[in-house]
Amino acid sequence: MMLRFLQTLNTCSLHYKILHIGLLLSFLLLCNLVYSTRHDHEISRDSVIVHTDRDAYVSGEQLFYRVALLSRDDQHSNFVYMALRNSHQEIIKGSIVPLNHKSSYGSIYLFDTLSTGFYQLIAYTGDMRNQPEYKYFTKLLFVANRFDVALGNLMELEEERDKKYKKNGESIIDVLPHTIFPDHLSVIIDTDKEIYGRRELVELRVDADMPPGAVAEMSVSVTAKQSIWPFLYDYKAHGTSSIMLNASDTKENKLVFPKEENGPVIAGKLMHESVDDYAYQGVRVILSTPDTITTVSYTHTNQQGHFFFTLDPAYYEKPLYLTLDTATYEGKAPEIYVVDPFTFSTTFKGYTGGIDQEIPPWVRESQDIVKVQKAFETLAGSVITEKDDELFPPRLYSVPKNVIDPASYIPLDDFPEIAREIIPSIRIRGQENNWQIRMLNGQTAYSFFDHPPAVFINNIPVGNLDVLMNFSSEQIKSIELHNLPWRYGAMRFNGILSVFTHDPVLPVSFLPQPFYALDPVAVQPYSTYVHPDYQAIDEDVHRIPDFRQLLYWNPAQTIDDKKQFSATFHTGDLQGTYIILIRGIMDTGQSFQTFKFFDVKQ
Amino acid sequence: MLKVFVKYFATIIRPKTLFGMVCMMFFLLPARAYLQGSDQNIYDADYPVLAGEMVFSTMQYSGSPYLFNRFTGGNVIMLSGAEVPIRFLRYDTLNDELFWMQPGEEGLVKVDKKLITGFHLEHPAQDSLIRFYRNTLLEIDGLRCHDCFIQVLYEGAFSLYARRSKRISSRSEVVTVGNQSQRVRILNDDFTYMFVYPDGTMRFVSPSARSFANAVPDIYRDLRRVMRSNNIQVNNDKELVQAVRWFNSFIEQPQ
Repeated sequence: MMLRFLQTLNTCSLHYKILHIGLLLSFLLLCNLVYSTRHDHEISRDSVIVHTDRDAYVSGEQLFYRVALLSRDDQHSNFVYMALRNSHQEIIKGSIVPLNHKSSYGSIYLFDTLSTGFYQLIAYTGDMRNQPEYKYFTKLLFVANRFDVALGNLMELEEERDKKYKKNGESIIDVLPHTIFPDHLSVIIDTDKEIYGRRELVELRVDADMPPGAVAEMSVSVTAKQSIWPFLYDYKAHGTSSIMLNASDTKENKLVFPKEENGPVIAGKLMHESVDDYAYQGVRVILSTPDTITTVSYTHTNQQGHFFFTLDPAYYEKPLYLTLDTATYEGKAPEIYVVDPFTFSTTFKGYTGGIDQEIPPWVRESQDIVKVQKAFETLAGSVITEKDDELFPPRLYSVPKNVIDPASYIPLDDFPEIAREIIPSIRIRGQENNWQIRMLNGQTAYSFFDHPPAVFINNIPVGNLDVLMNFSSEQIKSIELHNLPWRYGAMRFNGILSVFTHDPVLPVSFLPQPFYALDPVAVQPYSTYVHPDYQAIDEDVHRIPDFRQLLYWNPAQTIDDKKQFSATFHTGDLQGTYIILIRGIMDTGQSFQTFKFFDVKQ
Repeated sequence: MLKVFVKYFATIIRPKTLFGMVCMMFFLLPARAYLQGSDQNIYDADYPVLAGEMVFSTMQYSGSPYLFNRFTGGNVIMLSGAEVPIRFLRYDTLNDELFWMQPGEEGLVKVDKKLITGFHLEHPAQDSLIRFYRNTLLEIDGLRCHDCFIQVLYEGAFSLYARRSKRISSRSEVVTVGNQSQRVRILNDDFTYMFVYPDGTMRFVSPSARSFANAVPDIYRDLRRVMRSNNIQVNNDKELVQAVRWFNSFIEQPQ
């Protein structure tokens, strides 16, 4: 076809040649642009890897993790969603992990009430939500309830013991993790001894043979051998669905999730009650949270009626409410719909591959160990959480023009009486269900604003003024009056009245309709595992038992041109075989893994 | 049909012109596609997310209360350190307030200065940014300057800052705006320069060699001599900045 095109071109006049080539180039460019604009957001080149300290846990323990983002883009996501779900498809823990230079580390507390069974750890970035779920990182974990002595779930699996391992005559727990090295890399783990005594110092040294300039980042876990279950690694525990996360629900199928560089994004859309494809364009969506200062955050819906809120850290871990600015849409109020980032279309089937008979006794032993550890938690392995940075909430104003403290006056029965007696710059007219508030313009001091002020109770916008009007002065902590023509970005205010109460008030009783209440967004802080140092500890502490199964956890070890690192830690009181497991990623994105065993005896 | 069209086209358009037209089409397509793709936040991008009082009238004076005679672009630095770019920004040196204008809307917005740490203002005549920060630390005796904006002229071990202010003179003159004439007070520049030592203390200086050398009394004579030998002159604020820069490098040199 190309040859024919060139032959035709040869016979053409110069005008034809230019026109033909121009049309061809334009056509190719147009095809490319159409394809790239349609799929630019949908094709994320990110992938996520999570390393955990162990594979098997007991409820009440901490799961330590390291998250690494593999991305070829300069502008990459800085947040990873991490969820732990059980085989009933319930999300046990859903949180957001902030990344620093494409990696993060922390811990997840495994609640005491978790039932015994297999769990799935899922990790993905915001824009990976535009991809099929099979591209998410998943890892199979086992958690035993501390008080579940029967271990019913596990005993069932033992009966269906994996024939393959039995046939080979080896125990399933003797299966070793794979040693994986990319080309030009080898990592050698060395310890000063092969056998250690109780509470003895272990000197660990790791040497890497890799090309000059290469950088490897890794996690180092030293734990009881039985808590690493390599037979789970290759097990396909989730459904084989390749459908997109947001394609399962027609409400979401058009949302294109952005890259989350500056904060986690709350994504949603406004929906018409009867017309499915109706797009509410340019509607202002306001985000609020109960607070002791007046803040505001807003965004606008795009041409598809979708909205995206990049969440400020000041909104983390707080109940959130979305409302709409009535001045920015016409007709009946739309319905607000927010996409839950922890909803999955694929199912988690659990593990049905069979287990060895040696596992249930080991799990029971671990349960007993954790019970003892719980009693002496202060010593043997603790979690240190790094402090958060200072918060800068998006304040609507720095200092209110007037602050009124009702406690300084005699008790007053309701807000109209409070306004009449002690707030001269406010005029309230009306009755139940039909209140009107006007505020004196502080710039003129003699004229009222033409429109009512914005009213907040505990930083939540007020739609139903009845709640406010019923407040007595004893319920109110302070009243802030900012009676100035005010602007916050695109929002204009004819004065602001912000009331703060002594006791919390349920926002759903006064929020303007429509509204959407969101669960607090959980953001995982950085946290590390601290192991006891018996050389520095007081003699008395030596009497406290140390039954740690995790002896050492270093989630952020880098090897560069020095090509080695060393670490020291102490063994505990538990005898047995321990594994030093190193898993990492090269700067080229290639993964590696290696391990070494050592024993602890009396 | 196409042949007829091209033949007719060939009679009226020369090949070079046609080539130009095809090239233009080729280059305009991406621009069109780009505009279509960047509609995500057209509503948010128009308005800088800043809080402030809307102001519709200001006092009349002879002379502008502003640092520059027109609005210029710049960035406002929030308490979090985030920079908010703004197209129309103006610093009122008389009232020590920062104003932002929204095109197509009436009035100005006086930025709530306690929610910002400073701002960068584009110089209308030079390709440079002028940096101001809100003073919350520097103890400035005799100058009511808590929370006032201070211009950073030079930052080093020894720094130089300036307070750009205006003074309402006792003299007045008649100003005519449209059909109305009004007697108004005259505004004069009132600039103060602050030489800040490494320990955070400061001393006022003026753009003169004597005043600058006086700021370092311990080495006054030596400094004057070295300044003369290096031909360091201080007659205006630009030369004062150069002198402070030179002084920092002079101090760092091994004696």
